[in-house]
Amino acid sequence: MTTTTERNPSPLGLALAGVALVALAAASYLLSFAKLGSFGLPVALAIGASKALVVLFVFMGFGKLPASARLAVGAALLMLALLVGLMAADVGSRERPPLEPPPATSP
Amino acid sequence: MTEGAHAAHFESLAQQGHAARLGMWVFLGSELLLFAGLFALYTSGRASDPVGFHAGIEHAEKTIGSINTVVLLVSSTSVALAVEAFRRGRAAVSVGALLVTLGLGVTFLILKLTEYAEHFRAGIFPGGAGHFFVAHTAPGLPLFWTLYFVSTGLHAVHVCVGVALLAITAWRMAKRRIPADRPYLLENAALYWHLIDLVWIFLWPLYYLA
Repeated sequence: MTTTTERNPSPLGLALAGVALVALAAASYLLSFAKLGSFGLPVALAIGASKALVVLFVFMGFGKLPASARLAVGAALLMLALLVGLMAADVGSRERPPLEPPPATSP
Repeated sequence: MTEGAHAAHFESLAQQGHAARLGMWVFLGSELLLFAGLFALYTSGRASDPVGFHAGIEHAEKTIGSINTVVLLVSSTSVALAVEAFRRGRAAVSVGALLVTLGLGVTFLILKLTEYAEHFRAGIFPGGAGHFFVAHTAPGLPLFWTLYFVSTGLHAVHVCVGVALLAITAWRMAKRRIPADRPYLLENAALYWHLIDLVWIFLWPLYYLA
């Protein structure tokens, strides 16, 4: 499966990547207690994306994949981005209904 | 099949390895799309009813969810170590690392079940059923919890499959039935486990943190 010319991460490198992942998770957990307001979710997702890149490139060897496999993954990610992005755009562009009328009083 | 031989419909062992790898990554892409729909629904729900979704996160079992995050991150590390150990010819170490991963996967499932039990005790059920929703009426709250149960439930099913796959792989490796030049079962089982971790990496902040 792997050729002798491929250089895989050493066990120490893998362990350090694991430590980095746990550290990022700890940062995410601690930041969740900070009052970040509307920045809370983007910050949490950005840390999540960092962890995902570590898993993808260090553990899964995404960078060493042949182009065909990377194309398959790219297509899936593109579909995910389109689905979520267009869903957000749809909801975000809807007109807000007018204020609800007050409940009817007794005649 | 003798050592170094490839299946008849492949021209070489390298081509066979490429096919095994490509096939697995295409499958992972399809699994990603399975969860994509749920992430899209979350996006829609949160954009429509942010107050209800924030209220839902306030009642999430943050401690259990965070412990489960660490459990999966460590398990991803151990399965990667299992693969690397096998590549270096250390099958016994590889089996040990697989068993550690398996144990962590079971731990995740036990914590998940504990968490669900806590939700049910609090009157939180899918579809907005339960006495929790009588006291908490924010719009979007039933949708949040329904999406939570479907997303984490589907993820837990994947963890169960991953645990079974790791157990089979560890058993075959212990019986020396995984050849060194064709470690497809081990590498693909590890890739599947990493995908489980990747999905949880994004479920955690969406349903527990922010």
